[in-house]
Amino acid sequence: MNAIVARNLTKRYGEGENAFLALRGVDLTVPTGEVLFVTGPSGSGKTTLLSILGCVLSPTDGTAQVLGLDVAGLREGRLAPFRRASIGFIFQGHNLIASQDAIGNVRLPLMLNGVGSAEATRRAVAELEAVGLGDKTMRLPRDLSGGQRQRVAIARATVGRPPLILADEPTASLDAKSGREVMELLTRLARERGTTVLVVTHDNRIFPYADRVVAIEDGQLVQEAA
Amino acid sequence: MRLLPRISVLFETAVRMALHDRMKLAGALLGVVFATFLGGQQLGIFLGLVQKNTLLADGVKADIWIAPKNTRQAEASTTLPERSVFLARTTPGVAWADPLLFQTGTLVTDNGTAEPVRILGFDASTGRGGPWNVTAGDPALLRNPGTLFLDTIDRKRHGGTNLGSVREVMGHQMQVVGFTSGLQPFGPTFAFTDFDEALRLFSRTDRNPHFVLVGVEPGADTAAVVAALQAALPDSDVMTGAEYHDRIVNYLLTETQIGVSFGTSTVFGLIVGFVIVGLTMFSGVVDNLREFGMLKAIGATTFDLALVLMLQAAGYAIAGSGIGLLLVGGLAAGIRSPALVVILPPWLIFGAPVLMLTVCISASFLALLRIRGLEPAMVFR
Ligand SMILES: Nc1ncnc2c1ncn2[C@@H]1O[C@H](COP(=O)(O)OP(=O)(O)OP(=O)(O)O)[C@@H](O)[C@H]1O
Ligand SMILES: [Mg+2]
Repeated sequence: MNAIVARNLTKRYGEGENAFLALRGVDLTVPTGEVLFVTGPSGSGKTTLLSILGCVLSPTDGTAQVLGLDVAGLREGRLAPFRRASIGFIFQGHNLIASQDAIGNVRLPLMLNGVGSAEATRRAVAELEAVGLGDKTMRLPRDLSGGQRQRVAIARATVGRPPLILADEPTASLDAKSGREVMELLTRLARERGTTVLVVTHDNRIFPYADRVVAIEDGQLVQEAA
Repeated sequence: MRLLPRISVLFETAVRMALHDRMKLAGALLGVVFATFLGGQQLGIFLGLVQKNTLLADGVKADIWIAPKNTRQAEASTTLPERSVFLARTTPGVAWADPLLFQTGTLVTDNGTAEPVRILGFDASTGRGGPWNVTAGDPALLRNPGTLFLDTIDRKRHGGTNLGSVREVMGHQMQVVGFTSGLQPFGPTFAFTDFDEALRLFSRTDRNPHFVLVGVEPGADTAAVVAALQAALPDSDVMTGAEYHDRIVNYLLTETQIGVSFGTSTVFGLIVGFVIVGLTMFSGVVDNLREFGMLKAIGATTFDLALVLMLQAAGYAIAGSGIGLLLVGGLAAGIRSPALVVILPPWLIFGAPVLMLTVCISASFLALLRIRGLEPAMVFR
């Protein structure tokens, strides 16, 4: 089974003279349970690819099957519930809700999916313990370090046990040590649970955590590294 | 039920976000408090004015009023012919009809100062149109010549009146045989005396009243009696007490600047509140754009986020109108005096929050548009 099957993915930004081809026919297959890194220079189309596979951006051309669902051309009304139930997101900035403590941030996706408050809190605490923040569950984001925030973000992405996790430059705002810790954590949780993970990064220090690394350049997959 | 946790987490998000930025919270609340306070205070003063202007129409117990043509205020500018009383008494459905004289006169105190009083001359033999809110004395005593009732509000001003005090009214010595309390319209307080005595005080040679008060026979249709009286007295205005009340209110609202001035202040307050809340909520959304974008990315719908905004708007409306009402209540209690009453009707407790809810929710529209246009892909940038 494949978690992701993309064929001829093309994305054009803008119209006419200003049109810009960010993706030029990308073919990509990600087997279920794989931890795949996508690397490439700035502006090469990594985030664009991730956005399409994360169902927050629609491709101009091509098809994408995400967890068996043909997502190209689906409307937001259909995609939002799909993202909510099936995809965990980790962003470059942690994008935590500043006014909510760690528990509040982590149980958010659970409760949006209809898990009751008590159960969601219990699972959020357990997940925060799993990312090593069992003693900081009541902290607001501003009272956590960068690495700790990103670990809260990981807990938020993984707490609902989604089959697919997408991460865009998850270590970009972290120092080398925190970056390694965060990747270590994310990939360990994913492997324990058989989650498919797609990480976009140009931080080659974290490549060792990947099962496979592919590179993208000018909107095209150019190479597959071990 | 899968919806309940979802609504509860959106509620929590709304509350925490709103409480997180204290400056914005204070700003939005201030807008609502201002609008509620200004509106409530204007309404209260206006209703106080209405109460004063309709004191006579509301206080005198008559089913029907006959007044000179085009009477629209709390007083009649001319008199009715004396035969109006007799014509009214012979109209089918009329149980009784009595004259009422209502005119401003002067009362001279012991030390010689003249004070205006509103003299009501009513038929003391029937007592109809006589004093209400009586705190001392028996209105039946007014059947004796040379007697009158004064109001306690002006006791000091009238030179420390007591039961038995004698004052000079329009050049005649009159003895105080009773008191009413609180009967002060816009202007001097009421003084009650017999109709014949009133005619004497004003040196009148005719017996023309300003109003004829009419009682309807039990079982008779008031509207039909009004129509019959109007037909019998085509040169007068015939109306029920409620209609007379409404006429006065209508007059205040349309013929005087009162309605306009109170209306503009209230509308101004509402607009200021609307603008402040609208801008605060919009800037709140802009400040938290990444958070809203993140919520969209992880699968919250525009509807979910609209709910967050609605809840915040509702919170501002309810808290702000609550504070505003408390302030108006304090103000009303603070400035209450016989001459100026601020009336806060009980429905304001519900009316103000409902109105503010409407204002705040419509003010959140701009913020809503911003959220609706928000692309979830923005969180990756
Ligand atoms: N909304 C947009 N409108 C127009 N052009 C865009 C838009 N988003 C991205 N682009 C352009 O598409 C190209 C690919 O962008 P993308 O963000 O996918 O690159 P990236 O590989 O993620 O780069 P980085 O490593 O800097 O994050 C860039 O040239 C970018 O300027
Ligand atoms: Mg990028």
